[in-house]
Amino acid sequence: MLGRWCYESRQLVFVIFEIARGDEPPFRGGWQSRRDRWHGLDRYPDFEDFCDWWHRKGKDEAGGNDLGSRAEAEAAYETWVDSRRSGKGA
Amino acid sequence: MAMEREGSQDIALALDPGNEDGTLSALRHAADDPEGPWQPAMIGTLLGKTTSNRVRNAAAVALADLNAPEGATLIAAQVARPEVAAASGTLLYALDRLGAALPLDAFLTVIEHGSFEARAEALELLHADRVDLADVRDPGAVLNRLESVLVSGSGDAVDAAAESLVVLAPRLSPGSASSGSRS
Repeated sequence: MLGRWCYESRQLVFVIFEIARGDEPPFRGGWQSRRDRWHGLDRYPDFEDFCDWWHRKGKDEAGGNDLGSRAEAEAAYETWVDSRRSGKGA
Repeated sequence: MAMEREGSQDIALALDPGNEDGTLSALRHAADDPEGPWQPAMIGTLLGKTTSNRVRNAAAVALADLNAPEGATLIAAQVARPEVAAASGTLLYALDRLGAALPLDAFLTVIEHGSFEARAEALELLHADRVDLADVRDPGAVLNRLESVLVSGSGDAVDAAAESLVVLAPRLSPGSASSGSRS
């Protein structure tokens, strides 16, 4: 009983924390979507193709490090689009 | 014995930084020759020993392409290492390709130490119900780890920790359907 109360109180604190940050509460329409995490890139129909290219080719050519930010993800996507245009893509 | 010695020599050569391009080429073609020298166990050894992100990434993708049953365990063990978590995006991609679940401890390590990319991949697995909660003995300690990131982390780490808490807190609460078992 006490344990349950503790967990529920804790959860309430998390929700208040997020609302205080200006985010929407997690109950309507889910939490942060993949679209938010990938800065909208996954809305593109070729997002999965981009992921395959990134993990199999693009990242290696870029030195092997992970994407460090949304801006880097966008830049990598642009690189992929350009390489496809020039016929060097995956 | 002779085969073991041969395998050790192959690993030593593969780990040689001067031979990195050769190792990468061999790993990329491992799935083309499933009976060849690059068997999952050897790739797993390389995965655990290399300090090169490029080689580690290629090894993980090779395990996924070989569809090796032991691949998921080998990859998850590396993701759980804090020094690897910062460059674990492709390891998590490979795990996803294998259709495997990520152990909770590895998930937490990615939230704590991972890159933007790794956290995004890990959160995808969480939302797909593919973070393994089967062996959680102390749910409070799990939530404490995430709370610590909320307090001391910054930027993407705080966002990822908050999102994880909202998803995991109900699943780990006493009496929930997934508490103490695979969700």
